[in-house]
Amino acid sequence: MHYEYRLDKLKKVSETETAKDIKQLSHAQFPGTHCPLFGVALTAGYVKDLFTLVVGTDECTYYTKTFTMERSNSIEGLEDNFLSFAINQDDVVFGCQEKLEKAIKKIDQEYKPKAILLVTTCVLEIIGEDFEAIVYAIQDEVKAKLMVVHTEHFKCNSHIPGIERSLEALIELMEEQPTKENAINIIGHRYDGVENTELLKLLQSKGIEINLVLPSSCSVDRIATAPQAALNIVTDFTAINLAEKMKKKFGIDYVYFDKYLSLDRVEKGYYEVAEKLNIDIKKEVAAYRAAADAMMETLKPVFGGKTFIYGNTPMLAFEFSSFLCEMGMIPKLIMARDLYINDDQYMKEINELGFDPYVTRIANIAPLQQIYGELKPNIYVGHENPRNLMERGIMQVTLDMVAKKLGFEVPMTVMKIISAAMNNFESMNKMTGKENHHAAS
Amino acid sequence: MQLHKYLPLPSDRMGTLWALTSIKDACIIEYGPAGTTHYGIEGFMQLNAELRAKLYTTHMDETNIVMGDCERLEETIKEVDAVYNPPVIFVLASTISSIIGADIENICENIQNEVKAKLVPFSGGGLRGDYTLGIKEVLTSLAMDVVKEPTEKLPKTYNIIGCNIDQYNFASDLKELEGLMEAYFGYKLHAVFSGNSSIQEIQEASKAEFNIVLRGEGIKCAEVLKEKFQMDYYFGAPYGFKGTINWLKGIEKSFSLKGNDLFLGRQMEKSRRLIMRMKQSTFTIKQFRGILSGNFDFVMDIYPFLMDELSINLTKLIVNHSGKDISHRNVVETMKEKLIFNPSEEAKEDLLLKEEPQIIFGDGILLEMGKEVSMMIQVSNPNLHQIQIFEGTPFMGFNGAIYLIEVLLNQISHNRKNLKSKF
Repeated sequence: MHYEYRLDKLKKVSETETAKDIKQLSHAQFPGTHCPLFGVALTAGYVKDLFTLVVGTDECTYYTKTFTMERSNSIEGLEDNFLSFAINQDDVVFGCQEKLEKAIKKIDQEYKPKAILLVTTCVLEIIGEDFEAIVYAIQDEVKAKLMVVHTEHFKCNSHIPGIERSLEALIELMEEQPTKENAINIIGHRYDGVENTELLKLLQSKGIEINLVLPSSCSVDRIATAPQAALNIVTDFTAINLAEKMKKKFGIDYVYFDKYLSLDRVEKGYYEVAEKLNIDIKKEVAAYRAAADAMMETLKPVFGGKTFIYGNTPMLAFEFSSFLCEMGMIPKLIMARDLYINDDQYMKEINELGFDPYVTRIANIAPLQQIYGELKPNIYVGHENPRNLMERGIMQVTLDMVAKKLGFEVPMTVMKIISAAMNNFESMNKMTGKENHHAAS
Repeated sequence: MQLHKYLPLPSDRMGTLWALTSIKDACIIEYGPAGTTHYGIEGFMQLNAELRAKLYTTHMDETNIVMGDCERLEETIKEVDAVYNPPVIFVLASTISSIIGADIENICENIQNEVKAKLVPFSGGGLRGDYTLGIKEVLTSLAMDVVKEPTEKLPKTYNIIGCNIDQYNFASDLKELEGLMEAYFGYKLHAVFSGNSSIQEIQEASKAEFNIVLRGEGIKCAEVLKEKFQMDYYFGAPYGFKGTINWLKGIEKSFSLKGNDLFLGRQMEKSRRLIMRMKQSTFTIKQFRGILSGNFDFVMDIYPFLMDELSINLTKLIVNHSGKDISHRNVVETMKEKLIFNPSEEAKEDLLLKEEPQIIFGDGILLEMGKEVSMMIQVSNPNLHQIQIFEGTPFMGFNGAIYLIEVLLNQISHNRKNLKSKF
């Protein structure tokens, strides 16, 4: 029997109202999404003097540890303070509260961390081990501040909740501080070199001081001083919950300024920040905008008419796709993890530009092989097996390096990378004698 | 203590997955949260192995957990069967599905008639034992559920059982064994259980004349093949010059073969020269002491080469798994005193302090713990940083012995200043 993955199983952008409308193309998923535990591994390692204790199966703890060891080996200044408590069959049946308390006390005495993040995993959530009760029972007996993050994957579709919850947990380390009027926190940025971004270079030139970058440049002690900042700039949607909590607890206002592609949104973000900090950046922003506008106008004829599938980037799926639509490109399929803040607006923009692509769940490249022929994309944005794409004459663009940017440099770098990839693809086709820009068949 | 600064012992489920994923065209479905599968896929890179199988996850949500609804798994099995038309689908439980009592075996049995592929369930959820159990179960299951009746016998062919991706040097060792068997007996490798193999090769394994079993985890597999297809087997792995000669002679005798004496003569001549060179290089070193770590059979097989032929005093032998399943070998008293099964991290750190080794033949973690030791050779997993691409650096066979001597001579040469003289 021939089995077909049918696109009509999916909903289109106009029909996508809740996360449940984001359907899978197939039951069998490959490679599948990462879990919230991975989100913790991506986030907590940045905080100096924070130890993270992952409580889970051999498998969960083993792979998390190999990831954090490898990561700390490749990122300058990143320590690997992840420890594991590997549960056994007895723990599943009888619970492991006493053993965990002993382990926490041992960590406290042996490593003397300033804080310990206790991370639960799927099995611990199923057996109902009460981590909050453990913290309540032993907080007074240990010097380290104890915090809990839950990472069960059966309640969500990705690693994002792990990032969100790790960031949210950090509020427990913060203390009331007198406000420094010219100081800001950058929250949600998980890459080094934030001071070199367009946004921060401009703000610093106006006398604005970076108080803290959460999580990529901070320590337990420094986090305590986070409430000194006059403003939080949220550069990733995963930190919005933390920003809301900080606003409620410490009265710190925030501006949500993600890695936007839309020039209007970037401009609006700049002016919102300027207004809150009472600085004048009109001249500089106008110059940045003019350069970005000029690049857009130059490249629109090159990008225009090209069809694409959005797989994944460090940016926002629908916001990114909306920008490519604005460049005249035609979306065929958008892969999304979930629906996040403002996605309704970005989806509306895609529809208003005259497009209504299919939407499917991210991290499942297995069924795509069958539907490339039907969708005939020119470009695949994101990670896929390059050989699969090459064989079908589909150009691949990956944009991981854009994640470090903030401001107009985000859309400009994206345009430059896509343009360069197009040129490369064209040269490769000429070399191999393939017809230029042919679509999948 | 279950608290780990480095890595816990890999579970049976991890071993199952490692043994299956190196088989080309094997279809594997995991019934569990997607993150488990995604993590596992990334873990293969650490083993310097490729994902050759088709691996899928069903993912799981609260409905599956609270209500015990397994429809998701049934639909996935039917879909994979229809799309890929595989001869076999391996269905793996996750820790979660096994805790909630999802009966993978029963599910497979119930829908077996609705699919063309043979369904092979693995219900171990990762809490029953270490990775060696998972590997043993896969190897046994391949013999029981995948190997078919032979349509013909292929003369001068053999299978290898127990070359798996959890072994640090599996790809190079496999190549070396192929070369050895070809050069000495003129025999060709037919199927491998299960490193860099394929479902078709394993299905047709019964066409070969006999089996060579490299590790204890493969003995039950060989026994099944012996019973089902009257295939005899030889157990053991060739390390060092003497070890390799004994191994070849053992196979020669077991299967009444006649080897190429000229080839053997040339290798013996080479070995005499190299052993002499090694002895000259270590002659002045005071108490050349070392520690070795790895899988039980690897430690047992390579020990005589390092200890007797190369005169390295291995004071402790760390086995990176439990000692529950080692009854397939006799351990001599002198080795019994040195063997330590799955020691804690603290015990390993104490050992390094107490033994003061000049050289570590170990896994990535032991090497990390013993950073201060001047000479270190990675010979086993877990692996942290080492990338293995070239398949010409074996530890097994004559070339393995030569390669290890070369590595050792270089280490000695670079560290001569740190080595105390006995004179």
